[in-house]
Amino acid sequence: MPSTGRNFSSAYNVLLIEDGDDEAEVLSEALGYEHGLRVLRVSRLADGLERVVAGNIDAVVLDLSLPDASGLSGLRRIRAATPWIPVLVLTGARDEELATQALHHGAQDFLVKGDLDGSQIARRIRDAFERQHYMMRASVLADEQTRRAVAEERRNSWLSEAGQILSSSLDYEATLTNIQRASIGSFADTCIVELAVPRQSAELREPMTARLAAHVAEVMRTGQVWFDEDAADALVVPMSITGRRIGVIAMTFSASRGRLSAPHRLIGEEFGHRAALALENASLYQQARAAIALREEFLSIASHELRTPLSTLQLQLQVLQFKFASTAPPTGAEVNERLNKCLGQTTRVTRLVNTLLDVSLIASGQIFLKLEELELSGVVRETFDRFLSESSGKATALVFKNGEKIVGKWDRMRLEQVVTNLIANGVKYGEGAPVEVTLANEGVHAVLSVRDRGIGIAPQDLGRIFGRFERAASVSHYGGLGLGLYVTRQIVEAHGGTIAVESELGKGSLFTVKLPLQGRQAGVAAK
Amino acid sequence: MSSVVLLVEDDLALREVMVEALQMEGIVTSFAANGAEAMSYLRCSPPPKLILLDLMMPVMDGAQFRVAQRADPSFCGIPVVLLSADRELADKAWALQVDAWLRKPVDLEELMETVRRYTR
Repeated sequence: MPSTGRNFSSAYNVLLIEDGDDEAEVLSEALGYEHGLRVLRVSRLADGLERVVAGNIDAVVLDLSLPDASGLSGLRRIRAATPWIPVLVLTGARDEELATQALHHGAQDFLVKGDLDGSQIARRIRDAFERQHYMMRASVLADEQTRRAVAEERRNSWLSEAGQILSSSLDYEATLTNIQRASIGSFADTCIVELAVPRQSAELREPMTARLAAHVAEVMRTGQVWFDEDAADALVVPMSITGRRIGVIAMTFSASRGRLSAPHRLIGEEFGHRAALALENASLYQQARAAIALREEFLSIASHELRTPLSTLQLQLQVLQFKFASTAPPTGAEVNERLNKCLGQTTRVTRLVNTLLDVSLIASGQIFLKLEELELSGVVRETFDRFLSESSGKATALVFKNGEKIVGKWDRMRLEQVVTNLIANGVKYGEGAPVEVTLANEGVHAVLSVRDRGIGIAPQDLGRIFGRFERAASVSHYGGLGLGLYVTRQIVEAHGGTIAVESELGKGSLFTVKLPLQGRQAGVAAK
Repeated sequence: MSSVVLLVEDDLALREVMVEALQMEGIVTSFAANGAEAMSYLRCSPPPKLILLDLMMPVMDGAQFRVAQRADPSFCGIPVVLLSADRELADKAWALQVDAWLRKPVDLEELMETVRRYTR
């Protein structure tokens, strides 16, 4: 396509296709000398075609009666070869009808031989050139608009298709794959999804060039789209939800797709937004399902934990009833013993119900501490002794290493709960090996340690054992609500303290609680 | 005198009162605190007429015991009644192919009736 930027004021070339030497000479001289146009003349259409195809011709003046073409056939062939060059036809005085037909077939104008002088011809050529020039510009603009509309349509339809692919699954891993599936081929050539919190170890993640990796890190940090203005072959877009970055998408484009432009950037940004929404939805769905599964499991365990003491209670009372109805009623001592056993079961149920209520209080942020000055080793000793007496049937040895007296401000009842929970856990998972309780004063902190030498905790479970309803051991093997460590951590943290665990499978666990001696201000609600 | 019932239950207090209640009816009862102890008992003692089996227990749980029991031709024919607070007890009873199930808290009369049915 010829340039549209040229105008008539600069020197330009007129190709005259005319077999009559005299007429050609007159025209050449008139246009060339008087009006500064460079006239190239050929006698045959074939030569003319060759010349226009070779280029650098700005207008053609064509005789409609040539040795190798007559009538409109020459015009048609010239127009077919170079549709952008204006053609003026030369006709005889009586050829008005032919001239009109020529205009219909794309000629810009017609010149009647012998009827015009040089300056008139030059003006008509100029007009023709300008008309053609504006038509060409309009056509180029229309083409460009069409091209843009098509590209826009293609991108919009791609985004809509990508949206469908992204919303086709609520599975997190499938959504990650879908981001790549939606992008590769239709939009980009490669697509790497990097998450703010990677789900795979570094060696399993897809490799990328150092240059791209640097920009991925930058987009992850800033949340701003990165688009390579020079090479125009890569685009990195953020995936953010309400300002929180969940990852970035890095896409590369081969040269065959043409240069990346501003619309690519916008469309890529929108894709990042949609991908972030899809991932967030999948993540929330996954969390909701996990929470439901955890709640179901908790209800099963709670049912078991509450119904077992109720079974004992019911059978003890029914046995008593049965005996009273028999011929040999129970003695006072037997009645007393059975009632004591019943009371033991009601204590057990009460403790379970209290734990459940604690969890509900903690969850609603309503657990309050009643701080008072306490001597910690005394409190631990009392709790320790009570535990020993209550669990007389269990063979586990309990060892209390009491260092020195430690005075601080804590909530007595909650502290007893912490000690009881940790010892109970040590005994439960200690496989009969001794459980050691140690106290130490570290200046501003009191440190309570409970060590067992039992089944231990797998490294992957260490992070979750302080969560609500969480447990590392099999539900079917170890009873309990899965709330002990959760409640313990909440109480310790409400005191401004910390709890940590070290453990090795098969070797046991060490729980360490650090409590500030001055506690926290009384009445402060726990989380 | 050989035991008529083997009770497999890890909760000490429940185990005690159940053994007492069954013996009150003249049913000789032995007990085990988990599936592994129950398997040891079966290997060393005359077979009981009925096994009362809890599901949630340490070391070897009720489901694991049932697999081991069914794999051993000497004990696979002993009837088993599940005894559990599990919310899906009926489904688990069907999956483990036991003879009957009792939901905790157990009613004394229901317990006796069930035991009598299998120990006549």
